[in-house]
Order: sequence, then structure tokens, then C-alpha cells
Amino acid sequence: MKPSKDDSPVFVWIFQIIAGAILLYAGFLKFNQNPIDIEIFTALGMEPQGRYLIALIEVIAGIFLLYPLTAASGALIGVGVMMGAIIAHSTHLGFFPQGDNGTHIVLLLAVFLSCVVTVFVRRKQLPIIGKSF
Amino acid sequence: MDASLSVNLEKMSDVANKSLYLFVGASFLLGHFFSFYFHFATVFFILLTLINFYYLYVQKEHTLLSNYGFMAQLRYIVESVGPEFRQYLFMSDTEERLFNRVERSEVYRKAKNVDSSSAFGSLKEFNDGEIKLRHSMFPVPKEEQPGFSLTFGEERGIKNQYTITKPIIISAMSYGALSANAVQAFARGAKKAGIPMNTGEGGYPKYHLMEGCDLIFQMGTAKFGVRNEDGSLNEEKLANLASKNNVKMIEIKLSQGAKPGKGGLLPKEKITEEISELRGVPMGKDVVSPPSHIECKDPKTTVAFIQKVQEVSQLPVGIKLCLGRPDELAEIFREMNIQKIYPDYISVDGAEGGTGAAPTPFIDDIGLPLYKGLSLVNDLLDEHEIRGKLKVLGAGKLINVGKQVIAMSLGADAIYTARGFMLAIGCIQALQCNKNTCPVGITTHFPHLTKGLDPELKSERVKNYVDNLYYEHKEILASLGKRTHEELCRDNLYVPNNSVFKGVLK
Repeated sequence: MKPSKDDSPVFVWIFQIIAGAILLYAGFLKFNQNPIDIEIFTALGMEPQGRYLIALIEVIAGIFLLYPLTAASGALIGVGVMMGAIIAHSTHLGFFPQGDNGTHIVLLLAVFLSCVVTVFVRRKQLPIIGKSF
Repeated sequence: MDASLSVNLEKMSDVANKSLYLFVGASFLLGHFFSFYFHFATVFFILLTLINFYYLYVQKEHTLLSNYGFMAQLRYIVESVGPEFRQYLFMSDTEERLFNRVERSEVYRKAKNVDSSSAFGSLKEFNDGEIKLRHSMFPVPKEEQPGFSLTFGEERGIKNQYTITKPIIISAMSYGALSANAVQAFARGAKKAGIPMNTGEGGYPKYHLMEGCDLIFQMGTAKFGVRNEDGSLNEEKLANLASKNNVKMIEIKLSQGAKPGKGGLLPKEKITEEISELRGVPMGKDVVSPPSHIECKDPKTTVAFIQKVQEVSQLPVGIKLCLGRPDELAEIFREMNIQKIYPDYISVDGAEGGTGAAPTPFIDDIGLPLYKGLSLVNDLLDEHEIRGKLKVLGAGKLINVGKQVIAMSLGADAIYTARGFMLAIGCIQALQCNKNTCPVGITTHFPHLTKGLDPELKSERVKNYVDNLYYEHKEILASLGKRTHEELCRDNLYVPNNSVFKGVLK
């Protein structure tokens, strides 16, 4: 009933902070012409508009994740972005691009799983559909 | 014959549910072979499919979602915005509840001091049994009206008698149910308008006292502010409170129209640290007052309790009740005659009275409505020959002049209204008083919601509302051929044959 009341368990904040921090970092890298990202988005045929669009979505999701009222929505957006990333890696990029030692895919999975946990824990706080859970 | 426009929703949802898989596949292929941007749609449809799978095969709580999947969600969405749509778009000006737009607009206009005349004709029904007022062939010139005056406590001849000069009193609303800003707006407005305000049963009236208006301290069944730990009366605290200059009368609440036979209810969402301190209750759980005063077990002890409060406070003391069984009230009146103890006023609350929070069946189905209750109480008072020993106040949806004058014709000496004043300071009837989310800051304690309620500005609205009400009171009195409110009687009323009051009111 209280709009600002957050009765979610504290542990979920660990996942929110992990996902939020990585998303914000990834978003800023994309905005800052990170060469690896430029290469990736060129491969996907989305450079540069797609890169900026995804960067913006990542930053929004990252900010949302760090605020209790919007964490559920942020996490759902995060899940969506990571699903897109998984599709990109499985269809166009491969999981270890440019001799990457696996950091990329580990970060991706960390964000994806953290967002899934957050969405699940906070599912009742999702706008519109929250009541049905 | 089937209606030509009928839509088979079941088939439609079935097609939609199955199409989702197709959409996932199609958008994936488009994303893979045409442009990666199509994968935005892929992701959307995958998420929707997952949620839909949960709706259809996992959850059991919502039958509609289980049978029809995500399409049924549309129903919940449309349903959730229904009240707003009905209020603003689809309901006619006269059919809305609790107060329809015509009634509310009337209050808004009075409060804002704008022209409140209507054009072309009445929007009300004239053949549905509504009580109307009967005017006189010989109206009284307004200059011949001496002005309103009503003195409480004069029958007992006590020292601290209290006189009101307008027939309207701000009814019981406590800090807790209301925000501090709203209480201050009411109290400041009451001072400007020269009328008293009832504090409600919310304990020590800190914010009410700040503004310097005359106050009627209400003592609910839990006696917040003047209680011992066991719920009995703390005489010292009551005497202290009654000695304050602004406290003019004490009201013992025996029952309330919105929840007769049940104590007050303050939801835990609304209990801040300050409120828990003023009331002496813990935070984090609903505060439910007992259904009756611990001292009042039968007519004898009830009358004795009234006497006790009169002695301790040395002020006029009234009782507030919603009539349930006239025979029980008659018992109390008999006991008053035996003990020769009479309250200084009785406030009759109609079952249609308002509240911040109460269980629905109590709001909807218990207690007698005001007009009936008021006339029965007056008949009983006459029968026991004590009508002349006390005053009678009426309360219950009396937000506009017509109904107020009808209530006064039925025996009320003055009128209580709370919701009229709430509307006057900007209530939009959002019906969220029990949720602490009042969008106009009246019944909430969230600073971001109360910041829009400026006590100074709204207190002017309170004053305007009272002034315009009183002006119309005098106009109506004049047209009825009366000089004072005291001359009002049942003879002023036209009660149609099909009215539920036919027979009760002669």
C-alpha cells in the first residue's frame, strides 16, 4: 500500500548491484566508442545507432536496478537486453570473439542471472502484470 | 440469430496464444537473415511467451489468465482504470456515488466563492420520493432575521457555556486520519469563519490547537489522549485538556454512523512516530478501538459516565451516536430522568456518515440513516420530556444547504459536516482515505502528497464555504417564512407519498 515501502529481502540487492554496475559500465563503454563494441555492432550491422540505442537501454536498466521502486522493471529490461546479447553471440559473434578469454560471456551470464533472480523476487512489483504473480 | 458484431473472445485468445510461437520464430528469422534489429521483437515475444506459459500452465490463482492467457490481462488493465474513466467520462452528473458531481461542484463553487447559480432547471428528480422544503407565501425580509445563536450548557446553567453563531460545525476528523496540513487548514479556516471544529478521537489535538480555533474534544471508545492503560478515563488528563482555552466542549463518542457498534480504525500504514506518540499506541499494527467505552455497560453506567465527564471537564458535554434500536435509547433517556443527568447535546450520526477506514459491511449495512434516526431521536426526547434539556446536532452527508435545512426541520439545532469541508479544501473523492495515498494530501502523511495542500490558501476555502452556506441558510429561512432556525419544524417538509419517510414523518 505504501508506494515507497520496499519489503523485498536484502539479499536481492547483491544481485541488483552486480547487474546494475555491470550494465552501467557496459553502457558507458558503448557510449565512449569502445573499439570492441564498435567491432561487435559492426558485425551485427547496427553501428553506430544500434550501439547507442543499446547503451541507452543498458544505462536506464542499470539506474532502474539501483532504485527500489523501479528495480523490477530495470531487471526485466536487463533480462531482455541480455537475451538479445545471447542471441547475438549464438548467431553472429560466437562466444569467444577476438581471442577473448571468456570475460565477456561471464559478465553477460552474471548480468542475465542476476536480473532473472531480481525479476523473480520482485515479480509482484512489476508494473501492470505484477498483480498476476 | 447470432449478433453480427459478436466477437468470440475464446477463439481469439486461443489464436493469440498459439500465434505467439509463430511470432517468436518469424522475428528470429527476420533478425537472423534481414536485420538484427528484428531481434528486439524476438526478445519481446520470447518474454511474452514465457509469461503466457506461466499464466496458462503454472498459476492457478486467476481463472481468466489460466483459461485465456495474456489476452485476459487486458481485462484487468481495463478494469483497473475503470473508476477513473467512469468518474471523468462516463457517469452522468447525478448518478455518481458517494457524492455526485452536482453535489460536489456545489461545494467547490461555494469554497472558491464563485457564482453558484444554476441554469435552465433542476437536475434532481421530482417524483422519486425525495423530501423537499415547503416555502411560505409570505417570505420574511432578511433584515428581520436576528442571526443564529445556540448556547450549549445553558440548560444546566454551568459557568463555561458555549455559544455558536453559525449553524455549521466541522465534524470529527483527527490528526492521523488526516494530514497535519489538512488539520491546520480546517482549524485555521474554522477560526476565520468563527465556527468550532471537532477534534476527532485521535488523541491530543496538537495541530488543532495550533491554530487557535474553538474545539470540541472528541473522546472515542479508546479515549486516545485521556486514557489510562486499561482504557478507562484518566481524569487528570481530561481536566488538563478541558482547561485549555480553546477546548469549549467535550463529546463522548458512543457510536459512529459509518461503523456503529465498532470502534475506530486507524490502518498501520498511517501510523507515524508522531501519531503513535499522540495516541499512545504502538507502530506497525492497525489500531482498533474497542466497540464501546469500558465504563458504559448499561444505561445506568452510561449516564453515570456522562455525569463524570461533566464534573471533571466543567464544560458542556455531548454524546454522539448512530441510532440502532430506539428502545435502547429510550432506556437511556429513562435513566437520565431517574438520575436527573442530561448531556448538553446529542449528536445524531446517520449511517451514511463518513469515515477514514471501516469494514465494508459496517459502512454499507448497519445503522439507521440520518433523517430517520434524527426524527426518531426527537420523538423519543419529546416522549421523555427532555427535548428542552439539551441540544441536538445532526450529521451524515449534509454537505449542502437543502439537506442541512431538512435535517434542522427534523429536529437538529445545528449541523455537523466533515466531508463537506474535505471537498471544500480539494477532496476529489478518490476513495483512498484508508490507504495513505490520498492524491490531494488530505488523508495521507507522505510529504510529496501533502506539499500541494497549503493550509493558508485552503483555510480561505473553508471560510468561504461556511460563509456561503450560512448566507444560503438565511435565504432559505426567509423563503420558508422563518426568522430563526428555531422556528423550523417538520411542517416545513413535503414528504411525497412514495417516500420511505412517509408515516415516520407526518
